[in-house]
This record gives sequence, structure tokens and C-alpha cells, in this order.
Amino acid sequence: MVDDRTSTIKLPNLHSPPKPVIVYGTFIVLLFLPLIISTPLATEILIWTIFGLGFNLLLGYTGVLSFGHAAYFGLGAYAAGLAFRYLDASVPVGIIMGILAAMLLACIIGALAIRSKGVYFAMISLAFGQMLYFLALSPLKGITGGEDGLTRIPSLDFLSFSLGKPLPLYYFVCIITGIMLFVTWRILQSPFGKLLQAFRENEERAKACGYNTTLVKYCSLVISAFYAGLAGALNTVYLSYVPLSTLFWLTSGTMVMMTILGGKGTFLGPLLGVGVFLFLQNTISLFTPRWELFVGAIFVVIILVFPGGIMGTLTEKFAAFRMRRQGE
Amino acid sequence: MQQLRFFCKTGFLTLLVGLISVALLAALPTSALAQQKTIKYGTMHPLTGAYAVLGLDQQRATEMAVEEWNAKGGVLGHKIIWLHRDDELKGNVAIRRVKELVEEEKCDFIGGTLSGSISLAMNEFACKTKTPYMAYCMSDMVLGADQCEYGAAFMVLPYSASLAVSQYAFKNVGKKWYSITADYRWGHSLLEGWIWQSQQMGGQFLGNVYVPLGTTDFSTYFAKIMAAKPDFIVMNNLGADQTAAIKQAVELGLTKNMKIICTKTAQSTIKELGPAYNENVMGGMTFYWKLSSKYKGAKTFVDKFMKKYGSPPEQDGESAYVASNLLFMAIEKAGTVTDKKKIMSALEGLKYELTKGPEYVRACDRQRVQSYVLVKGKGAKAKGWDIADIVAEIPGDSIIMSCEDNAKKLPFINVKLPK
Repeated sequence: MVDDRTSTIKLPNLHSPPKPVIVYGTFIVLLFLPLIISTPLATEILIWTIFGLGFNLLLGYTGVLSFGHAAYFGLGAYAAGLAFRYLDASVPVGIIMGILAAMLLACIIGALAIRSKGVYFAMISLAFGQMLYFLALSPLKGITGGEDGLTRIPSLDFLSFSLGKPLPLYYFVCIITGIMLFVTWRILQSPFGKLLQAFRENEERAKACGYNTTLVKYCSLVISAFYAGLAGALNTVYLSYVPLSTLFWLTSGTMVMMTILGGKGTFLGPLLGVGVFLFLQNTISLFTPRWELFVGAIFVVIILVFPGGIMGTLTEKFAAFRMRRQGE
Repeated sequence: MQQLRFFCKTGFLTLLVGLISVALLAALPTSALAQQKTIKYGTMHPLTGAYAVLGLDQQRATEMAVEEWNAKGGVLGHKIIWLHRDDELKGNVAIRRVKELVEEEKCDFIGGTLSGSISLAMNEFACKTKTPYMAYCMSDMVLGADQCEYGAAFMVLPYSASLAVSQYAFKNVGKKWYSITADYRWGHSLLEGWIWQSQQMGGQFLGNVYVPLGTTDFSTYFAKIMAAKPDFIVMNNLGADQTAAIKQAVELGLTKNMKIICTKTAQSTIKELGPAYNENVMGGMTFYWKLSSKYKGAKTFVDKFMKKYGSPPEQDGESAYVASNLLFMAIEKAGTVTDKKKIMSALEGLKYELTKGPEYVRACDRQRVQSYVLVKGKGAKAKGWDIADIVAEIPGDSIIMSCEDNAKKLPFINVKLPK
């Protein structure tokens, strides 16, 4: 959806990539995250943030809604898990396998579906996602473990650090998250990133300018799958286990929810959305078994107060504020 | 620049608040709990999701066991600190929370869960972190090579439930049977048990339908079953699926011509079905509160639970209660709270009498060997919690295979399941 609120006040820098200091600052804050919340929760937030960064690139910056992103996340998780379990792969090799598998799948799904638009693409991607889920559940249960999930993944080490220990694991994931934040930032600044945003705003005009929109969207999908595959593989390293639910559509749904909560099309939106979502879920359930009620109510309030997502609305308000100050 | 200041400000504030809370948290235990020695027991229950009622029952029974031990002065003079978390019946959430319990809260022992697949993942985590794990649910943990010395299972194995119920059915109800099986691994395991027993006892297997989880309309299946004219229908499902199936079977008048036998049922299912769970419907459980008229231990347990929470315990609560008690008994027997290996070997072969007759934890695979109870509904005659009568109690030793067979999943691995 194109935002028409911009018509009253001109906001030139609304979707521009952030300043470098924000990228580095975020990374430094992340380094201290385990001091504030529990390390496993912090690790999970980072893993989902990577997933969210990629998803946001597709939904927020390119304007393509994929409702089957669980397929890439889950396939990344399974590919890494299978490599660890059956091939005794090292951590980097397992992660690369996860990434490659997810990208390959995106190449296939993209080739078949990227021409369809809007809700049609969402439906086709959902169908592919569910197909993969049922494949892992039944026909392939000999290797995937069916509904028990993939177990018996050995303990993993990286450069003589045991990734079974919470802090080494956290910083391992944190460094990768830092790199991915940086990469995302560079992508957004590149001509390719500008193209993505141009398509989101007006695909017809971009086409008229001579750009091959299908190809660029296809690349955006594959890059997004890179993030999802990486996150999936890291999730396997983190859990030492692949639950079948990683492939289920609910994983995709959760991702959509997190991205919208944080603010699609904003740089820090995914991080914030993921953080708020997981933190609320984790914390409120400590106090009451009826946590879903409270979390749901809080989400409703957040969406009412921040219609563009937390980060989206904040950025908008901030930009508007600056415009007014400049006007004065 | 303003943007930068804004982010620095919020970032700094979060950091500050975080640091203060960390400092406060760190200061608390040293001041308040320094005097008393403690051990920490962390459990996981599905307090949300499809089995929330049963999860709550587990949580309550664990609470009761911990309170009882703490009232006696704890274990070896150590007060038990009990923490519990909602696993939402989801594997990834369960592992995140159990990581928190062990890595952050420093729990010495873990327990719980109500899903066979989550218990497998938890067991693996327990093996890697060398934390004793008490599984409360029906699980294949001890089958195959999945188990290490740090896991113990306190509900019966899935196939044990089918062996117990089928033993009774083929002797007392009839030989011709038809089954409705939930289409996932647990359902398949139950069906394997039934088919094997049927071959041993000369049963006549007329057919089976696999039904996806969450099915609400069973009428098409029943038409097929009615035509086959079995003596009884076997239900290898649970929860809402079972409720819907029995309700429709009774409405269609099936129970006039044949019996319905649920391999596993639950008190809450019987209660929910009310008059539909009539005399022609039977179900298996590891524990039903009416055992209190047979065993003294059961009476104490049920009365106490009833008084505290206002309803009799489910089998899941009983399993939680026994598992927690046995953990503390094993610690006491081992004479140490720190040597986890010694505690686990103290659990092996432990004989006890808690909620049923004399029982034991099998030494070779740390599986609790217990009886299985078959109940019959009371239909319209049900009153309050008096909703079913016990028909039979099948002794535990007759429904469990040897450890050697279990390790190879024998004889069930050879059973050919129908398509």
C-alpha cells in the first residue's frame, strides 16, 4: 500500500536508509542485550531479527507479501540440521548449507510465482510453504523425524567455543546479526535498493523507465530467502533441534505480525517488532497463564497508537517534527 | 543529529534501567536466601493450547508434591525452589524456556511436558547439559536409542496402553474390531500395539480409518464402520477429537450395537461428554480417582488434591505428582544434591508405593512400571465427579516389553500398519 499521508506534509527522508551511526549504535546496544533480558531470549530475538530483516526487504522495501516465508526458514533449519546430524558438518558448513537450500527453493518458487501480484503471490507462497510442511511431516519422515522434529543433532563448536553454552552462542549470533544489519544497510543504499523502493511506490512507472521489474523482484525474493535460510540455520544451532513447526504457516504468520508491529519498510522495524513480540510473550506468561489475553490487548493498543508500526510511526512523527522546526 | 540524540537517549535509558534491575536481582538472593540451602526444580506445562486443562493439572500436582516435601523440611535439608513455565505445547518455545530454566535460573532438575515429541527434545537437552529430566507424559523416550542416563519417564509407553486395553477387550468384549486412529505418530504407535495383540489373541481386525488431527465430522467414517459390523470400535485419539467422535457415534446410535473403547481417555473428556459417555463407552487411563477406594495412598492423594483445588486429579496430575516425589526420593536415597549421576542411579530400580499399589522404576531404562486402568462411563447416572466406574486394572509388568526389545522397538517394528 502506498502511503498517502505524505501528501499533506512532504517527508523526503522517511524511507531513506539510516545514518551509519544508527547501524553501529544498534550493534553496540545488542552487545549488552543479555544484561537486560535472559540470554536464550536475547538469542532468539536476534535470530528472528535476521529473519525479519530479510522479510522486511521483501515486504517493506519491495512491497511483495510472501505468506510462505516459513518454507525458507524451515528449510534452512532442516538443511543445517541434516548436515550437522548426518554429515557431521562444522558450524559454518551447516549454516552455508541452510542458506543455499533456502536460496535454491526461492529460485524455484520465485521462477514459478513472482509474476503473480499481491494476494495471489501470498497465496501461492503459502501453498508452497504448506507443501514443504507436509513433505517433512509424512513422506520424508524417515530423515526429518516427522512430527517429532529433527533430533540427535550433536553438540556444536565454533573456533573452540562451545555453542552449547549461552553466552558464546549469543555473541556468535550477535556478530552475524551485526554483519546482516550492515549488509542490509548497504543493500538499501545501493542502486538495487533504490530500485526496490521505486517498485514498491510505483511499479508501472519503474517499468516505463525501462527496468525489468520481475527480475529485480525475483532477486529481492532470493536475497530475502538468504536471510531466512541463515536465520533458520542459526535457529538449529541455537535449539540443537528442529521442531516441525518451523515449517508451519504459523511461523510465516508470526513473521508478518512482527514486521507490521515493528514497522514495515523501516530499518529497525524488524528488530523492534521481534523484540517487543518475544519479550512480551516471554515475560507476561511468567505472571499469568492468561498471557495471550494481555499480549493481544497490548498489540491492539500498539497498532492503534502506532498505525505504521512502532518504528514507522516514530520515524514519521520525528520527520514531521523536524519539518515543522525547519519551517519555523 | 537530533535523530542520533534521540536514539542515544532511549538506548541509554534502557541500559540504565536494565543495569539497575540486574543489580537488584543479583542483590536479592544473597540477602534473603543465603541462610538456607536450596535445590531448584523447574517444570514445563502446556498452560495454553489444546491441552491447557491437563497442563494445569500437572502444574498443581507438582506444586502439591513440592509443598509436601518442603513442609517436611525439604530434601536432605535443602528447601525445594520450584519454578514452572508455559511451554505452549510448542517445541521451540519449550526449548527456549527450558534453556532459561537451566542456564539462567540454574535449575538443578527439570520435568514436565505433555507432548511426546517435546519430551524427546527436552530429553536431548537434558543429556547435553547433564540435567536430570522427569518426563510426565506418554512418550517413546525409552524406545530406540533416544535416551541417555539423565531422562526418566513416568507415564506408560503408548504401546503399553494398547496392550492393556486390548488384553481386556479381546477377553471380555469380542474379537471383531475396527479402529479410528489419529493420523500422527502417537496414534500409529497405539494402532501397532492393537494389531500385534490382535494377532496374539486371535482378534479379527476389520479395518482402520486414519483421521487428521482436529477432525470435527466423523459421520462418513461411521457409515463405513457400521457396515463392517465390528464388536467394538477402538478410538486411538484424544481430547477434542475423541469428544467429537464419541458424541457423534452415540447420536447415530452406534453404541446400541457395538461398544466403543478408547485406548486412552481423560477425566475431562468424560466430564465434557456427560450422558454421551455411557455404559457402552470404555476408556483407558493410568489413574482414575476411584482407585482411592482400593489404595490408601490414592485416597490420601485424591482427598488432598480435591481439598486444595476443588476437583479430583487427572492421570496427568498423578504422573506429575509421582515423578516429582520420585525425584526427591532418589535425591534422598543418593544422599547428595549435587551428584546428578548418583541421583539418577538411585532412581533406577527404586521401589515405592505412592498413589497406587507397589510400583518401581525399571533399572535398565528408567521407565516407571505401572498398572493401567480401564473405566466404563456412567452416562446419565453420573453425579458430580462420579462419572465412571473402574472395570479393570491391568498390572504393569504384563504390558511392557523387556529393555532389549524396547531398544529395538520389538515386536512393534514388525507390525505392518494398514494404508
